[in-house]
Amino acid sequence: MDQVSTVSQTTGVPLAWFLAVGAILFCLGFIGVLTRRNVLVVFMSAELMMNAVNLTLIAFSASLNSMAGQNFVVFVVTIAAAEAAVGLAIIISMVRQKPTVDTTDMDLMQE
Amino acid sequence: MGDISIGDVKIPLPPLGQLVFLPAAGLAIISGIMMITRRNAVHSALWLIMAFFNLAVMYVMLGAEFLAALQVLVYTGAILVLFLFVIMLLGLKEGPKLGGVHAAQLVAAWPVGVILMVQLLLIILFSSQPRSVHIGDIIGNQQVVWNNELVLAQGGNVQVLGQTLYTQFLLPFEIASLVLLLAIVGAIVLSRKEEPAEVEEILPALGISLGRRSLSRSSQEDQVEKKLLPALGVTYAPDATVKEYEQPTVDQPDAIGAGTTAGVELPKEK
Repeated sequence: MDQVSTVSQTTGVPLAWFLAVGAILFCLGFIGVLTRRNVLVVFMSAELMMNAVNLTLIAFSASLNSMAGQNFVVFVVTIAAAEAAVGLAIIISMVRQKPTVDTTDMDLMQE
Repeated sequence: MGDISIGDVKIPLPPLGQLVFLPAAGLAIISGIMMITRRNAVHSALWLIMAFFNLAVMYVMLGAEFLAALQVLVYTGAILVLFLFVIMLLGLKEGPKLGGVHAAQLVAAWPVGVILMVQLLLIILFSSQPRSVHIGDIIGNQQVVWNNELVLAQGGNVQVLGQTLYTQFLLPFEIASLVLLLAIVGAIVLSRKEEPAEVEEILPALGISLGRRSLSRSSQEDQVEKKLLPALGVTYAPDATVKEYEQPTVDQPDAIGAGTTAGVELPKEK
């Protein structure tokens, strides 16, 4: 291997590029979680963060010639699906109590 | 890759992988930025779908074809459609404004996120890359390096992923199935109508009072009754159907009215 490790013999793209994209997407999701007040968009930003981590896992998996990373991604997708189902159910039941999706108005437990 | 020659000028082409990677990465990042800045939640969801598709392209480049398919089928096909479904089900057309009361939050969050991004990029781009990358997995007692030749010899990415998933990761796989089962049950319990209509029929038959509240009414109807009707000068009158059940009063209207009849011991009358 030369000094820059590429993720596979065929693509010729350095590993660091994939990691950089993963980091940027993770931070975008992070900013989205912090700034947005629509609870659904906050949720979607969390999904974006999870996908950024998935990209990092797959990039390392390809770089290290290991299948562990890809197996991890299968579990992350599983948990993301479960999380989305339960989270959206919680949102629906909260909106039934108080018709708003604004996180600053979701203070049912303070009343 | 060959070069493009125009006359005597030779323009070197980057490797094919980079020609695929750069548009996919750029579109993914642009889609992410658009996703977190759109006011309309539906637009955000559509941009997120765009980002997911571009991530799937990168998964294919990394030799994870099965996960790319999974990304398109599960994430965009199931999860994002569920999001869109909920957004439209809730029917709140315009989301909360950006900024507003919490403008300080907005001002603080962007620098924090950008600083984090710069830090991560500095770490990634200037840290020493691993030199020897033939690590592979330890299966049994032997080291298996899943390079391209071995993966192809096994039949491809799907076969290799299946082999490792059902051997090395069998226990987590089974636990994941339990998590999914719990998620199904949890989603059904959480999202069903809080006050099922059958309870209204069953409880009186057991001789239990429902108190003032009708169980089948939604909270919106409750609000209309409590706020709107007095404002219009109409006196509040509970449902006639409920009224006739009021005679055998039990002193726990709240516990029953809360809708969690499953966990509450139903007091028997007589």
